[in-house]
Amino acid sequence: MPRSNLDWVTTLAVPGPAHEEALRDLHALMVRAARHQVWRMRSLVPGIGAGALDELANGAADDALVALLSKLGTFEGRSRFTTWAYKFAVLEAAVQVRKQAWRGREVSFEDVTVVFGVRGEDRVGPAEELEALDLAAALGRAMSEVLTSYQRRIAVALLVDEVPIDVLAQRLATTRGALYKTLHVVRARLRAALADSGHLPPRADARGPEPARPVEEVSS
Amino acid sequence: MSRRLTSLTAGQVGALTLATEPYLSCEQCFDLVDEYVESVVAGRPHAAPPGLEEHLAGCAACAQEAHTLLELVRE
Repeated sequence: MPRSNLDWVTTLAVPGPAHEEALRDLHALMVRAARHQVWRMRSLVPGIGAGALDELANGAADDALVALLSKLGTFEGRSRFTTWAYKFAVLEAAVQVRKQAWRGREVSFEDVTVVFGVRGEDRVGPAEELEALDLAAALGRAMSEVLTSYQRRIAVALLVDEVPIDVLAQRLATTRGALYKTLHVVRARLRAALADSGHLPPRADARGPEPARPVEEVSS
Repeated sequence: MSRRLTSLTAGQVGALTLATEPYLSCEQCFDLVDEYVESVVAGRPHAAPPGLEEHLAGCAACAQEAHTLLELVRE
């Protein structure tokens, strides 16, 4: 019979035979969740075999179990306990796979000079393409003018080079939350600049455009 | 010496200009995502807390983890 949320919390909080059994069951749940995440991301670590992937998942589940137990008192019962537990394992497994995938890979964190623009000969073609080129050129100017060097480097590392946020946080000795906050500010500044230049609607809550085709490389 | 950025794909332009207001941190997302995923599975996606879906659209790591959680809860 499945445990209720209350059963989980009380048996995990009080030492005894039921506690040991609940811990084993919880660990099994977390291994399952970690394995699911690791296998879902296995294309990021092509050189790693099935056995090593399972080891990675088991290690992630162990670390996640420790993290969960340290936060057991914060469980408020807003979801099922099993769902709450899964998320600790999923997070830990995902972070470990990302770090494994980037182990030994250099992360470029140089400042960036944005040099793309729109050449006269590119000003042909469907209006949609011209709009995309104009937007890209305006975005390039905004990146140079309204972002600090640090903001520009974070934005390029995360969104252009696609360095995973956990990996970048580890290399820069900061946190995922701090990097996301920087990215949020970057987007707000870029959107404000593009609204000022007429490339985006002035509404603060307007969503950004999603051009249907790549913006072609344009040399300066 | 700085690196030269000479092009952006449409996806990168979209990611750089994405509206992610109201702000929600990765830590807040982690706190809320289990309840949110259960609401999606139950057919109540409109029950998303303010800023959560915007955060998931703007944070690839949180979105990847939320998707896995969704798969696990659906099993």
